[in-house]
Amino acid sequence: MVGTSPSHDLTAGAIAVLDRLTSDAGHQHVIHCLRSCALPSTPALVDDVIVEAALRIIGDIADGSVTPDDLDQSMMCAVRAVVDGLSGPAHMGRSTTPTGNDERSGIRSGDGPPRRHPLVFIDEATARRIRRRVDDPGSVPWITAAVLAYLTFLERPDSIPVDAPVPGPDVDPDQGLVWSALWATGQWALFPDPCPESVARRRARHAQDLLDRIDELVVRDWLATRYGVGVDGGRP
Amino acid sequence: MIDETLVSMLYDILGVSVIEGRRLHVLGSVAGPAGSSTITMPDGGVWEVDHLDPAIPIRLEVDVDGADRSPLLIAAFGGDGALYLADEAISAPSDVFVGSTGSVQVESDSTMRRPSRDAYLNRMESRSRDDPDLMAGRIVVLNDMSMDTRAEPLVRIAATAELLLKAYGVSGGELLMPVRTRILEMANALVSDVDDDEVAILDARTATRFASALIRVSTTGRGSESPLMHLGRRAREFARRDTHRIALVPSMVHDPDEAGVPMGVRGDHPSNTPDVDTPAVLLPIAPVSTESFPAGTTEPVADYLELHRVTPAHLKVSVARHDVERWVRVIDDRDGVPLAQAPLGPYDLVEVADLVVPSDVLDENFRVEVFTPSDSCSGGLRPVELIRRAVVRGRDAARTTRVHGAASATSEWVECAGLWAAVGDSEREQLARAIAEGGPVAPIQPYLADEIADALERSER
Repeated sequence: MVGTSPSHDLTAGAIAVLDRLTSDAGHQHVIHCLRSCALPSTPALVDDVIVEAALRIIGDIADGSVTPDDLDQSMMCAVRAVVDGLSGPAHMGRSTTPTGNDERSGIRSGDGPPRRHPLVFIDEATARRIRRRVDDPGSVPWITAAVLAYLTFLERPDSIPVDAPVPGPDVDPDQGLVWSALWATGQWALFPDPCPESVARRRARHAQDLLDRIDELVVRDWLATRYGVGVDGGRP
Repeated sequence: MIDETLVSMLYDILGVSVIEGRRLHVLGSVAGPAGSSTITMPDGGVWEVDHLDPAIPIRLEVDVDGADRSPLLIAAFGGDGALYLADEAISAPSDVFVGSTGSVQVESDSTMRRPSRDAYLNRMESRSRDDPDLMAGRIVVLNDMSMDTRAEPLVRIAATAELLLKAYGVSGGELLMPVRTRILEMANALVSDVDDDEVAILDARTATRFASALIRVSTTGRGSESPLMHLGRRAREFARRDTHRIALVPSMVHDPDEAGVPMGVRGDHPSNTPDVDTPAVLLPIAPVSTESFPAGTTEPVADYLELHRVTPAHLKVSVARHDVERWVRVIDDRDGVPLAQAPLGPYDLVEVADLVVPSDVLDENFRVEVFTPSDSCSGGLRPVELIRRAVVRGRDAARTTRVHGAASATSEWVECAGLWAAVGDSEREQLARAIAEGGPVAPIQPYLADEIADALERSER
């Protein structure tokens, strides 16, 4: 088995989320929201919305803002937020709340992205399938490179370069894998010594992008392998 | 009966109110080809307008509990109006969504709206620069810009300053005042990401306006020594420094003694250095397949490829030098699974990439491919990504339109139309194409952030 600390395993919660989103009722709600924004409700777009809504809710479960009792309500809100965000600014990678911490852009603190792990435990078979999916449409070369390195380090910790930067003692050790993956794929400029606050923020953004991509690949993999969603660009 | 408050007149085309989950949505039009702009109020209320024409309301959203007391709804429709909308939504016919734990959702088919090309264009055509609803909608767009992490910090700071200054005189803007300090803190945090050469790029007029906005907003906010205040003073100094170098149009500058000089754009890229101490292992060049790279193209490795297993996990790849950006990928030859990927960087007459591979992979079990990434092709993109690109292109086109006029943005609108067409959204495609072909565009004054973004972009060309 490979993966991050089992204490971060959200598999059960994630499956409960996907069960709801892939149900007929969940599917109809996605179509309803797309139509309300005058967006085409093609099967491929519906699947994309399901994936993004699932990631949102699983993230909320991870940070404790959603409990199993809230799942139905959370699903409705998440789907709406994803669809609204398509034509609005929410896709730009940050909260639109002026009162918020702009967490996703890393403004809150340099090395403090909101989380430091993939959302779910990644076993060996999943890791292998994720590697196959890194060329999903829209993939970004540097993120793809970092994902592959991250998976390599998960599976073979002895592959981590000895000179890769190591986070300080006050940072979660799992963050070290993310750092190593960034460093090993050419993002050296993110690790100057000493490290200015602005670079630390940029590093936090890159780390978040990497984890987001891994989460997306895992959820897409689960949807395809467990629910048949997203296979050949649409629902079966 | 809806009160005749200022903003209620502005939102006279809002009419449909529905409840989704625990939220009350008051719906207007749908977003045009440049998408929408949104602001979330301190109490969670959402105010959304069309990005291209902020006078076109898209949606107001508040908690259904206490909706009749929502400051946002009351600001928009008055007290009676808020009460009316809340009552209307609750009494409207609806469908009930049943989740696995019971009934949780109320929906109404009244949300099924379509964009009307003629109505949309007619509204823009009839707009005047002084429309109060336009002024109100502008603060929503400014909030959007201030939070846009795609944008340069300098642009976001300018948008934040303009947002706070504009919010004082606009209905609805007063709702932001309780969080003014936090908005300023965000802008202050961005100042450390700004370099002097970016400020120096600005022309005198823009630098002066920028400096003035920062100093004004800092004076009324955090005091005289905030990072924003310092940045404002630096901008003013840069504007004054090179007065003799640029001839200014007097009517366009506040201070005819001020000018700016473009400076170079930074950019550092660490180079790869081959390890010359370890003997290289030469491997046969693998056949190249294109099927793995939908977003780019692979190409034959011309006549030179050298692989060097520096350590069990460190593979160094050298290939003949080319002029275009290229990447290397290592693939498990047994099942075609990608193992590693890295960019090629120049080193003397070759290009080199360092890759981390699983340490237990044998040399005979992998092959190397070289490919050229391309993000310009939209054919293989997922629908959500197509929509996002269409919106981003529309926003860029809207900015060019505001700064230089619609005629200068023709190619951007055409590209935006093409992306909407690829999604299958013919309505927005037609709207973008109509604007590209000279259709009416609302006379939106450029924002300060627009002019700064435009200056930074021009300096990079």
